[in-house]
Amino acid sequence: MLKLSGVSVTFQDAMGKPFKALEVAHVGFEPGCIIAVSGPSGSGKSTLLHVIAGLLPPANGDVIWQEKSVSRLPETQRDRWRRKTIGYLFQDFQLIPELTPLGNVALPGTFGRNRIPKDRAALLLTQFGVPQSRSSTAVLSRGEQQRVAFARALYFDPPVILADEPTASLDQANAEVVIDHLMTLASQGKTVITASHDAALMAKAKHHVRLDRGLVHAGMAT
Amino acid sequence: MNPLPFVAAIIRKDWWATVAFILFIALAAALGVAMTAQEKALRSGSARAADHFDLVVSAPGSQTDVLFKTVFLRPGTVELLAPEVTAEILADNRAVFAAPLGFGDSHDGDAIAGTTRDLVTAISGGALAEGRMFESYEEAVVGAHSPLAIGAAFHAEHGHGEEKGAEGEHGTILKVVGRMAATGSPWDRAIVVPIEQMWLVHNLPTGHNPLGGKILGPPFDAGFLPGVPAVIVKPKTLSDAYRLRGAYRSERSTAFFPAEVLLELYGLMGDIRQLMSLMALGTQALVIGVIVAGVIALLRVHRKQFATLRALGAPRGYILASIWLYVAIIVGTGSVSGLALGWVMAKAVSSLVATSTGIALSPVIGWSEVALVAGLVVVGCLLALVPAIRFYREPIINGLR
Repeated sequence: MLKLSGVSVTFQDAMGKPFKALEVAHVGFEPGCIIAVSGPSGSGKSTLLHVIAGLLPPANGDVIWQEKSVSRLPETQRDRWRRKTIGYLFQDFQLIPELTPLGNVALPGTFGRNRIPKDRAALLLTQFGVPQSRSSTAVLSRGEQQRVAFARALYFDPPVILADEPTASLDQANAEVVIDHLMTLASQGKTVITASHDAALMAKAKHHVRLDRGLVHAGMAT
Repeated sequence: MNPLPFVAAIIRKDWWATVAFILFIALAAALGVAMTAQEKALRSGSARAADHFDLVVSAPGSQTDVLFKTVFLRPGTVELLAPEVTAEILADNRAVFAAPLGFGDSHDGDAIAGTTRDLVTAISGGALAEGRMFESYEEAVVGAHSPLAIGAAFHAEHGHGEEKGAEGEHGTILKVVGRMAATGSPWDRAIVVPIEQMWLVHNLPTGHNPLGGKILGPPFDAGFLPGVPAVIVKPKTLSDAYRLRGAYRSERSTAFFPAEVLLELYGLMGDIRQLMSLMALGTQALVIGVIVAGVIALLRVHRKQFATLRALGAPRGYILASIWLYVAIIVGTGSVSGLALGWVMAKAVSSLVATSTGIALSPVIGWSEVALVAGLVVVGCLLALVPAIRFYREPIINGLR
């Protein structure tokens, strides 16, 4: 199980004055369901996801995975942990348009030695219904691009999915497909944490974490 | 870890900048390669051209000047060797042959040299390629690349190059009877006439008693010898060569092996080449430095992509390897292209030099050029670490914000 304990993150404003961007006393994230992180813009939703993913080491506190602090791991080990544990979905997909859909999904396989079967990327694309024949992801519709991003996030079959505004740039039909995918992943036992303003997605979440100016107002009991 | 697919994507996205970077490096490398290849070609070409000139005896003065006028047939005048010294060396029994050499006239810009059949045969490598040797004062043998065909008749003109005056043509009609084998030297475009003909048209004694008729070639009559610009001597033995050189290094004459003068010139050229090579390497390093700065500016656009890759689990080393590989590909491709481009440039310059001097140059890419390019690649690969480390050290979060 994933937990945050006593985590705080401090940034500096434009004048160089430090301010607390995130302060979490204790939050636990239950696997097998969707946990929605909500709050106004600038409330620290993305920062929370970055801290969970180990991209932003907290000034204080720990991110705990299976009773071990991830925050205290050396960077190389944290990278490895992230690769095995976290699947990251970005609001604007962050695909590489110069690569094919298959090239994008298979790219994590080039990060280091792994035991992923060679046809894993192709299977994922088939599963998400994305045509492999396209020369670039730039020619795909936004819905298809989001599905490629989904497939890429699942390349290492991670137990935790972090989705930052996954439906924000999609039309309603595609947004519903994304919500379905997130529900499916949760039903497979994965921990799905999503930062979102989307009411439809929020309605599917079992737990909610509300943020206001970096402070967690409601966390789920663990 | 295999950053190639990602690097290929960067190249595809920024292909114009990548191609421009490669071109800059290729040009910088090509200049260095062309310079060293050209210098080597010039050495071997000039040495080959001087091959058949064992020992040159001339009036005291600049040996380099005499070398250029005799071996390389450059236009100009030299002091004449006194007739008594000329007579002495022409009769020296330590020589297989001693050939007086006269020049100063031309035809259609090509030098006309006057000498004996022995020297013509020696320059032509033992035998003519076509036709026969001159048998009378009015006959001529031409170099392998002379535009004059066998049987062609022509007038000799006074002077050669800038020395050419307004005196116009000599009255005698000369006829081409033979063609020498190619030598890769300015002699390939030369017209060679009997030395007696050259003396005759300049109203000088012909080296023979006029009462004996138009005698051609040695032995010469000491009483009828004029001064000559140079005498080319083929010594019988190596020790004779040194003895002859010693004997004619006096107040009245100088004697030298063309090779020793060329070696001095090569020494000077070598110093200049070393300096220019260093300057070329410095320029190349500067070009790479500028390109590294350009790459840093270019890759700032990719910061978000680097951060995304880190978020997807890429280690820092993957980013370092990707950027290093990208710059290394630019440097490597540019350098190898520069090697090829340098060879093409050297060939082009050689062709120009051959046209203006007649010295056949064959530039080749050897170890020194490969070493120059390898040095460039090593410097480039080291400098490639600068942008690689620059982005390696960048916190992931900066790219995600």
